[in-house]
Amino acid sequence: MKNLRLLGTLIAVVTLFAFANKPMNGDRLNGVWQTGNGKAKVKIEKIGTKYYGKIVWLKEPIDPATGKAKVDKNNPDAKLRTVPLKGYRVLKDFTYKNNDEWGDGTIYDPENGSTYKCVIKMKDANTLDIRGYIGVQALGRTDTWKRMKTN
Amino acid sequence: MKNSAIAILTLFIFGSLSAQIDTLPPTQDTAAEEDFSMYENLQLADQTQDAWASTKIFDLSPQKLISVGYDWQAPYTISSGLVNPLTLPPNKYKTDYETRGNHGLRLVFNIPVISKNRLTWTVAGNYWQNSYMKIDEVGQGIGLLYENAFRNSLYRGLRTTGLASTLFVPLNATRFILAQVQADVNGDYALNDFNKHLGATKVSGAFIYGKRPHDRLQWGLGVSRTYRVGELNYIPVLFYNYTFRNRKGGIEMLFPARAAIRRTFNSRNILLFGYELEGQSYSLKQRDIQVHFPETGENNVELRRGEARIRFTYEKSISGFIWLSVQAGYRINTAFNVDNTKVFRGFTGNQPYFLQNSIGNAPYAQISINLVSP
Repeated sequence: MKNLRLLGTLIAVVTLFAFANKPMNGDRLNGVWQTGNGKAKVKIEKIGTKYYGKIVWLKEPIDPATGKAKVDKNNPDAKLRTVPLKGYRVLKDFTYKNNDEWGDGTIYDPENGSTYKCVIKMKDANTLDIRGYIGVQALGRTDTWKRMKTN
Repeated sequence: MKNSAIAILTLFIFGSLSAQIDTLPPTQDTAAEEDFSMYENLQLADQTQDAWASTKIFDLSPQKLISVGYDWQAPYTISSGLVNPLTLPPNKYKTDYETRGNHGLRLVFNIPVISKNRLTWTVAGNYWQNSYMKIDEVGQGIGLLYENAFRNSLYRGLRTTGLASTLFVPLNATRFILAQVQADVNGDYALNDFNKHLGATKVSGAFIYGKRPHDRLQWGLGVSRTYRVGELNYIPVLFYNYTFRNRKGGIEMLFPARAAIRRTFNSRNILLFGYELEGQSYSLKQRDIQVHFPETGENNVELRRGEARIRFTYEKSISGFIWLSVQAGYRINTAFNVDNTKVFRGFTGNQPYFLQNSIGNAPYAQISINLVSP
């Protein structure tokens, strides 16, 4: 009987620990990341229960065609075409799934104004595989992002 | 007890707030502007990581993941001359006939099996039909048995079913290797006798070593084994994609197979003008061919078809990732000869054909609906 009680307590502790640990795992996504081509840095942060990523740095911040800061000129929504790219939220609505994977989100590509479904996998503490896809993951492209030192 | 109630209430309120955040707008939601200068001089957390050359440059016409298209050519004349009837006296026979054009479906898929910074591996497949509409004899001719046999194959329709595998391997941030191998089954087959043509599968490929100095240029040099002019050849190739500094246009080229100048109206509307060499070597196995052509073994007779297509192509996103492509131009014949499979001419060979045909040039058009790649 004593043993059963001990086992029950152990299970409860482990379960609690697992639940308590889950958001911590998810928060490992937070930070500043450099995109695969090195042209941008994206800051990922948790807002509410979801993860979002915004552009915080551009290698070429000035549009050579206008001589002004780059804006989201390819956005299909005409109202957003004057919004500066710096500060633009390109990753949206990600939730932590488990096994170092975040899903249910989207990624926006300012180069062509398209928004794709997206899944993020953490390969190691400093590397993310960001896969944007259409419909099914097989129809997609993976970009590898690298973590930046922030302190 | 009171504290617990407050805690529960607080949790409830925050929980409700969290639940209300379905998504956020793309722009900043805070009144205070963030100081972006703090991100200027950040270093990589892991300095051992390398950068790799990307597969793309800015503004290239979109890669098609799935494409369903239809190709049509206007009427033209075929002038057919018997050149090498090995079992007959070496006289030349000639017959003219006219086809009311040809047309057919073009289905293509391109699946990125691996698509990462370090390696991209794409598997592609294609199925092309080329059906010849009613063919009328328009002149007197002798040796019709041969030409009739050939015409029966054209009536049956020519088909191409192919599989390709393409590897893009970046060597560092600016250099890459592009390798492709493709196997095509071309012939006068239908679904029920496709297997008979497998023995005549044509393997082509290319190997290119290239550079990508910046986001608007990638180029490379390589060699190719190709059937684009109708028969097998080995040629050097130049791979060159360039986007002008003002991003209003560029050049897309895999010379000599194709080249085009691009006008980019915006990221969802582009116009291309250029040419493409198109060609296949079709195995002909219809019964008449087997009976009437000399030296007709199982795999001995092929149609070497090659053409140059000078065209305008307009591509437009009609809904998100669905793009419409409309192409119109002029098809110039470069080869349409019936040949012995075993003959290899390269650049200098002058062996005679079984049937040497010259066909008229014709306007053509192509339309396709495409699902394009991210």
